[in-house]
Amino acid sequence: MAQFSNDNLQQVLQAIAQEEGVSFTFDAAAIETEERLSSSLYTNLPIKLLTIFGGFLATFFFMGFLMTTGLYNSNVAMLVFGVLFIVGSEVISRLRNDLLLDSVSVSLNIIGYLLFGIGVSELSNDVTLALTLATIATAFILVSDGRVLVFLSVLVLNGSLMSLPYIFELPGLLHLYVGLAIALLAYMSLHESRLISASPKLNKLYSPVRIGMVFSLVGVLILLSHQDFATEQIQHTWISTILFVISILFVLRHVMQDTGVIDSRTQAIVYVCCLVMLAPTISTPSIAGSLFIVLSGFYIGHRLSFIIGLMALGYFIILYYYNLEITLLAKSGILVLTGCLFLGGLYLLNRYIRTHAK
Amino acid sequence: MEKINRELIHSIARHSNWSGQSIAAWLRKEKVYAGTQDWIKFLQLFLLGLGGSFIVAGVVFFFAYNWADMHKFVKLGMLESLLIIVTLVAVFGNFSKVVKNVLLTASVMLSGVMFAVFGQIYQTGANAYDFFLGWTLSVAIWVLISRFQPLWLLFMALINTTFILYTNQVATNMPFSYVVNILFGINALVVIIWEVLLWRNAISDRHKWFPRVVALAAISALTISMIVGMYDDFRGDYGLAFVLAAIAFSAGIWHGLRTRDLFYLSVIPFSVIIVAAAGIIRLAGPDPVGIFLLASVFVIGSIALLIHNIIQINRKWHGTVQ
Repeated sequence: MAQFSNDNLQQVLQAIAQEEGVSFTFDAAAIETEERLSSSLYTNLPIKLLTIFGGFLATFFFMGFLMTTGLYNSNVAMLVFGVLFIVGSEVISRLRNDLLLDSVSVSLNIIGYLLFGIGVSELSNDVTLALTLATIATAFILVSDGRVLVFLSVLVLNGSLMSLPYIFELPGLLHLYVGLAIALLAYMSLHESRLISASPKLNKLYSPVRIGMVFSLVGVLILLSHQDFATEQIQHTWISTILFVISILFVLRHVMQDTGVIDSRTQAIVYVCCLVMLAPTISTPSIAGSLFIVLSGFYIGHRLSFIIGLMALGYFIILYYYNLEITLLAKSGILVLTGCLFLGGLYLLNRYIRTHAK
Repeated sequence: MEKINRELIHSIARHSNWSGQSIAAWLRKEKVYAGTQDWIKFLQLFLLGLGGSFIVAGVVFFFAYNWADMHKFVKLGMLESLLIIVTLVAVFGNFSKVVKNVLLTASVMLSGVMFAVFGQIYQTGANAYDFFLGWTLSVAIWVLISRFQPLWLLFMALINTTFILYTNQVATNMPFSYVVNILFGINALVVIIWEVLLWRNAISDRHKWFPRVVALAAISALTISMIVGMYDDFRGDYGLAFVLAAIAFSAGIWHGLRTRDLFYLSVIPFSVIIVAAAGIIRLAGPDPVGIFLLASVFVIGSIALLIHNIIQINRKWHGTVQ
């Protein structure tokens, strides 16, 4: 086995090689370089945040500059500059595998999408705008190497797809989008190992696409629960709720398999409790939706998506009770009753754990 | 063998023919995925948090309902009895620490409801600053002894709200820069107390998000104060914000280097970068063509430099060689 300067990595690879047998081959140099780049767990979050916030700040000033030069007078110029910046962002991110250039690349990318969007929307109609943005974003996801760039493209692609039902005045189609997005996120959350071992490209796409899908789902939940944002009303919101509930049950099934809850009676009780809990929210998909994000994030131990899900859940629960058209007294009764049910659930859970611990 | 994280597993999978099945096993073995114990803990906290907050919200709504027929003594009496019962259960009940803390948080919220009902009965208005002041003072001791970070955060929100309402309702002619400088002072003081307590091992450093949030509030207030000062030709506080920043930021950087805490080393320079960029725009005067470009380049350059330095420092701390 190749010699590593990093003992821990060597031990890990040896352990894997033992399990996998002689067929296990790996590129030691590449793994070590990447391990060194990420260096330690502590670097990741502050540096990522600095890159993103720095990118936004620079974008803000650069937009100010572009506006003072009078670029906005020419739609064609904006379109051309937009394309140039989008391409430029990818070129810069490939120059060196270095975090330093990422802030430049990220800000160019955002400006690129903005300028391109403004240019196209002035020159053409909404359909063209949505479709061209979706095409560019898809191409970018397939080609790009940068994580933040792929994440931004996932957001652009999902935003374009979300806008299509409104543009074609068929708001019901939004449920189709919701279904596809749920299916993708659920599949990604439950089959991480299969996806990251399938090919190096899928492996690289996994993290940015998954977190991009989480943000997009939160976005569509906001659309579904704030109908006054859009001109078109979305009917039959229960369709989305049912899709979310199915996905929650699906995740719960995996959780119970993993945690060794095999007794079919207990499984049935869990499903029924979940259904009863979510039944009153049938016309507001946002609660089931954010619960799905919370559960799928917790399942794979992905902290960021878990926290985003929790924040969304808190917001949507408050919104749900705020919008409930009953007297304050009735609300109060429902809240106290539901609260007692949750505490009752806690009591039953603790009892179940005690009996099974013996 | 050290614990390995998701990033490393992804990296190895990318550059090898590691099988999906084995990866799945490793993700569980290395506890990247939630195990049975994690799920139990999650469910317990989830049910407890939801149950507790739903019941408190229910009580709030109950009293927000306009009970025209109920005598004021009955209203306040009911609330006070509830408050006493919850607090007694929190103190003497045979529960885990988390449950007791959640109950105490419920008591704190109920005290707020009591002040609101008082305001409703005597028509003082629900957003009067003295209502928040009373609430803050009456729960202070519970908050101090609870050692429960969510409760501390709630308390800080109360203090900040009280002060902001005070400047809106009573000290209406206090200059804006004073308001933000004082907000900075309040929050910075709490962060300092937290750090001192930590240094003397009086509290655990397992969860750091409370001091983080408060520090962010303090630094944001000071950043706003500095920018407003610049655009106001320092007429508000005569540059006091910059003096405060010079002291607090150097102390923060020193502390960050000493305790190997990247938080201060990234947030403080970021604030300085924002202020400097705003300063560049300020210098441009009425015709800012080109100066925006300069500011943009400045931001990119300084962020890049900052990240570069953080990586260097982190390498030094964690001993990885380049």
